[in-house]
Amino acid sequence: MSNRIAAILLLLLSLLWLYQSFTLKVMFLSDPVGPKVIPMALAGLLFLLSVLLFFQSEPAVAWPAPGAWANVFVILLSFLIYGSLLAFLGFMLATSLETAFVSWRFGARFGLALLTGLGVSLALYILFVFILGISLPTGTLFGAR
Amino acid sequence: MDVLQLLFDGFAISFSPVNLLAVFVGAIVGTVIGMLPGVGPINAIAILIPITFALSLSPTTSIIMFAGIYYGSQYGNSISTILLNVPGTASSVVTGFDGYPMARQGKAGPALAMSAIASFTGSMLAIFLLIIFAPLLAQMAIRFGPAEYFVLMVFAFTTLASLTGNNIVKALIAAVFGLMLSTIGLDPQGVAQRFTFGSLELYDGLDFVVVTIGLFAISEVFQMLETSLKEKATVHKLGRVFITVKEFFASLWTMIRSALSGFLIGVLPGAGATIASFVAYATEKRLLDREGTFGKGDIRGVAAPESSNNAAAVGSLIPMLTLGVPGSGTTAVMLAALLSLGVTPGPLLLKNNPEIFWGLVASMFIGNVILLLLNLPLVPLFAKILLVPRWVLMPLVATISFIGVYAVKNSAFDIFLMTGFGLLGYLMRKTGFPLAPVILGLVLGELLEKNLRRALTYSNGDLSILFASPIAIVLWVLALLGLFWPNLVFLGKRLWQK
Repeated sequence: MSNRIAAILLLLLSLLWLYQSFTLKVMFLSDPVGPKVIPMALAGLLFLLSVLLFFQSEPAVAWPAPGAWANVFVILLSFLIYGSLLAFLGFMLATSLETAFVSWRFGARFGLALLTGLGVSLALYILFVFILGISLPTGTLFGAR
Repeated sequence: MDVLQLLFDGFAISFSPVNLLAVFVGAIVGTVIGMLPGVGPINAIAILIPITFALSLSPTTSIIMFAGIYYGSQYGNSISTILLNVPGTASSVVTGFDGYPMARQGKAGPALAMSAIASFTGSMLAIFLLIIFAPLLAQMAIRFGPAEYFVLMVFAFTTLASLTGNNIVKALIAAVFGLMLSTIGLDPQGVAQRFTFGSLELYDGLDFVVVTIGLFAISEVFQMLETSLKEKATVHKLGRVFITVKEFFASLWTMIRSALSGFLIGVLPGAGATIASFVAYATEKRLLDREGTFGKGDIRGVAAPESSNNAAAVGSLIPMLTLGVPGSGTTAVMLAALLSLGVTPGPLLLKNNPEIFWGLVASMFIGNVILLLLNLPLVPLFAKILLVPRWVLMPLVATISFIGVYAVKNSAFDIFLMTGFGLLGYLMRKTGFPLAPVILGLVLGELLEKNLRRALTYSNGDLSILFASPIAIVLWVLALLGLFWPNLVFLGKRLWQK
């Protein structure tokens, strides 16, 4: 099944891509090829390849149990939330929370996870900000601009 | 001879305190990172690129450190493969065929030691070959115009596609996908905005660090999450940590042969350490396996892949440095790193910046010696790192990824992008799509398009320029061969048996 689904998705992608490259707004003509050709050629190639894929024999895919899927989904969500809240909460707070959460999902007991979160974030903060000089956000919650 | 003088200069450069430190740090960091399951040299280099920016390291020092990381991680990969049967990356899978059985028989020490020694031998041999052949390749490379480059890129592509994994179609799809990703943003001639949907963040196209970390590291976190949460890694007892003289000499020819084949495979753009390790193991098994010991703990089964994958790593630096074409996924990342540092690898690199090339070669010598001296006594210590439970390890990987990505553009959008690619990478791994061709496509895409359009501009739209010069024709033939190589080998075997 997975090959079929993948093939259909890729087919759709190639068609979308084709459409997008067709309707591209070109500012001026610079060379005989132009910016549309390669994307269209690639989309065409993808189309052909996904047709081939559709007819290929199915591999044995070890899909995870629904529980495991939920786990992956939850962590995924946490990453997205982390990204959105990073500027707001600042690096230390956001990362500690996120790391603690991931640690917890990987099986650590609640308290240990929190400790790990704090520990890892602190260690990395020191490493990146003080030793390597990369600036990390302080967080608008705490008054940074 | 000119080469010796340049090499001597290279040694002088690499003995500078900064560069020595860079090799040392790179080697250690590489080894530790290589031991983390799933995080390979690509991740290590990709994550550390922003750091080299932050430290304002010179291009020479940066690439010396990257090379140190590359080697270090080859060593590190073998460690986790042998002890836990968890390959750090695809290139160390073959090492586990005999390495893991050896560990279970209590011979983990000799296995680890042989892996270190074979890697050293393989690298050394390859470096000699590099010194001899690199200038030759560089001279030839100046005759490459945009048309020839275009065909070269096509060749790089076909070779990778036909050699990665069992499924050519999926590898090609991954490669085409990577190429499509590379078209996002402003096109090479600066004429049109492509697939950005009005988003400012995508104006410059996708950042390859974001894509790489997402596809590899984040997908690994998802993958690890899925496999049992409570499973603790058990380390087998480490016996003696050295090999007997007898074992060494029994494996000597294996190491030499594997280094040769590994180097040649590594030089071909698209092939790399993984293929080299498979080929070497298969060759040695065919030549030496009289009693069926390969696969059950034959130390030569560890020597072969280890020697060849290090030789391939060195070999893959040739096309990257002399021709500007990456030989593998890892060198693709290195190439992009160099480009962003303002250095253009290619035939002119040897002319204009010889100190980068020869400094690198000299530091490879030093790096390999350091790694050997480092690894043998430190193996027991390294092994303890693998005892760190997953609930510390994985959050660490995730957090380092976040910082690595955020530090590139200070943009949360990149974190979203990275997460998205992480999900994609996870799905791809589950359904049997190889990840490396995507990266290759992403990196090569712009070069491919730029050269094609330039070539056609010169010829005013005449396509025959792509087939004009002898170099171009040779490359087309090689590309076709590369695409149909497995079929040809199969046919050749059938004919041979008749």
